[in-house]
Amino acid sequence: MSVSTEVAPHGHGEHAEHPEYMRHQFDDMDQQNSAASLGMWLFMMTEVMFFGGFFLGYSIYRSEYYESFVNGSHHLAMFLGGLNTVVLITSSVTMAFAVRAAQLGKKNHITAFLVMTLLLACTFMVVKFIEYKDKWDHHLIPGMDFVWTDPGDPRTVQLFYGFYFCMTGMHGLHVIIGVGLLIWLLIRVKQNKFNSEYYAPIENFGLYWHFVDLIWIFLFPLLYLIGGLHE
Amino acid sequence: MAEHAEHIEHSGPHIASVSNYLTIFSLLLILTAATVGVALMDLGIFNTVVALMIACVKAMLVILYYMHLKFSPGQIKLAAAAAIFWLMIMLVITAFDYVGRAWQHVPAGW
Repeated sequence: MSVSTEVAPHGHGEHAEHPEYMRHQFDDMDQQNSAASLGMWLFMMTEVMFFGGFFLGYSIYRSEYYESFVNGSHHLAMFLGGLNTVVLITSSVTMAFAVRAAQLGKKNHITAFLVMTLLLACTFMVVKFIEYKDKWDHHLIPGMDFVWTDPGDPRTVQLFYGFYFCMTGMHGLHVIIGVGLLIWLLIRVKQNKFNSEYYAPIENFGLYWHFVDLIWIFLFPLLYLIGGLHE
Repeated sequence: MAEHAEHIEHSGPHIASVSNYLTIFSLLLILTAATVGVALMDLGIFNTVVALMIACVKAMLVILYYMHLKFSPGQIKLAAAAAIFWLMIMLVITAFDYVGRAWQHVPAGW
């Protein structure tokens, strides 16, 4: 689909006019969109390696100090973790619908689904705050007056909490960045910056948001559900 | 509404139907319930194995359908495959290193 022929009847040769959302260096919107997509996937590749480091460290120390990881895990709120899983999965489907609305050029639907995603992201952070507050109250912050009276070596249980806070903290930071980006997208939608041909920022944010969901899909069983039955 | 979407003529992006997204959504919810259900049973070492298998199935559903990888061009599939491949290099080779070397325990008497 050639954009320049549609919007610029006088356009000839290399100086054909093009809409403001199309960058000079691209031949057409298809090319620009596929470049934007590939760039986003390459970025996510680096994110996979970034979180992969956490998962690697986690696996090694979990195999070394399995009992402590089980004991530490039993103090996490399985219900709240499960609730947050459902919240994130739901926010993923609302985000998928926002991208679909963008593809179809339905502005009101885009706004509605982005707002839903935003609210669910905030819900996730509120639940996360409740969990962190509980750990704070019970002196389960590694390196800060860490107190462990249950079975298990406090030093290695502390290691488990180190992984818990690093992994969920870094994931939570991604959610917070996501909230910021969602607000930015909502402003751009309100300014009529997108149409059914140009919506790459919405689509790429969708990819980012699904990636954040993906990480949580692994974090939930690995952190909250170690060693089976508890509570 | 779902059928409406399928009849849209387009050369560009894949536009999935609403029912497709809702089906994946319900599958993800069912699998989340399954994860919790399995965790409440005592399967020994298989607790972890099953939990990770369910997580991988959920991840595949998200990647293939929500992230549209199934309908993406080859270069995107290659990028996704490379991400998983490099992750596996890091995880598997490091794991071999830990399993294969006796560097974890300080011998008694030291």
